[in-house]
Amino acid sequence: MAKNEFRRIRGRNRERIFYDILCSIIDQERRGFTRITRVQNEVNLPSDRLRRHLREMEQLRLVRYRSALASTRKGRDFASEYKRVIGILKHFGLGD
Amino acid sequence: MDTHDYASDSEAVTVQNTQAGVDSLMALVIWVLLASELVSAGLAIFIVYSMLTFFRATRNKYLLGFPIGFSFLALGYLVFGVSYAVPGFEELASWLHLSLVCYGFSFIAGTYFLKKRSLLKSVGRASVWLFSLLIILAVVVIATIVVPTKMVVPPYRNVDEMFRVTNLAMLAYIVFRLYQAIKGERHEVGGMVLSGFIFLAGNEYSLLLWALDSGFWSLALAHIMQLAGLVTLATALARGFRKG
Repeated sequence: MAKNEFRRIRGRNRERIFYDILCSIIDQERRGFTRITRVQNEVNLPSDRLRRHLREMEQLRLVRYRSALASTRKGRDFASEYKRVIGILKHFGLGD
Repeated sequence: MDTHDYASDSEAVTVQNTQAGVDSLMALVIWVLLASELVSAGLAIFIVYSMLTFFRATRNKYLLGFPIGFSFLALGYLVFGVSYAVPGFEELASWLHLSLVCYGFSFIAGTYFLKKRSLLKSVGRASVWLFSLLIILAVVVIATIVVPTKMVVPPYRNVDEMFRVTNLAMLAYIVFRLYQAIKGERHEVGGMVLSGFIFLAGNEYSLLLWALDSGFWSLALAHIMQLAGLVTLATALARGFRKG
């Protein structure tokens, strides 16, 4: 997902924010190293809200958020499922 | 017994055979129409199930209008189908069909309307208000039709055209919004969704003609269009799921 796309969407709900966070993490993992500040910039969230979401995502086992930030298999599955759903909704004229 | 008696007997047998032929043909037509409505209801339920899956994944409130709308459509088709099989149920079933289908299209059009608004601001509260209002209105109208009250409900034939024109207007809005949303991209699934709704508009137009002329072919064409529209939408959903 392009960086601008995170900023374009108004009134994101929790699921959309989780998806955006996971996309950013997965994208950075592909490049080798995940930084929380870069995730924060890409997802366009204040630090406290990002950390709150990350804690919630860790409870749901979507990410690992201890010493380093990393996506889990469940997180990657969620991101790919969400991407598929928004792809179909786009064809119905209901996508973001 | 003279030749005249023979002739009248054979005429009576011919009339009886013709009548039996017409009766069996009518029974066949009724079963075909009933089957078409049941298949339509099944397809609408498949669309409801798929759209609920999308809602569960994204939790966008305005998306609820789609499954609610198609649930109303499925009920409308089911009621209309039952009216073919149960004689004497026509007036009530037609009223229910008209109001359920009209509410179905209102919810789907509402989804596209809220989607447009969601690009400008958050529509969580607006979608709750709009859909709640539509549901309350639907319940009041259906209760007025079903429960005997002092209010006299006019024969459905008096309002049939009005409902059909309203449905056509809502389908025109849906097709317009859909075209606006997908015009930039050349994708098979998007085109299928657009054709699905155009077929449903064709169904409503044929039903409008049927309301005006009561011709068999208008009704037959309406059924073909309805099935084509729902099959196209269901196929688009299935393809979307498969391709991802």
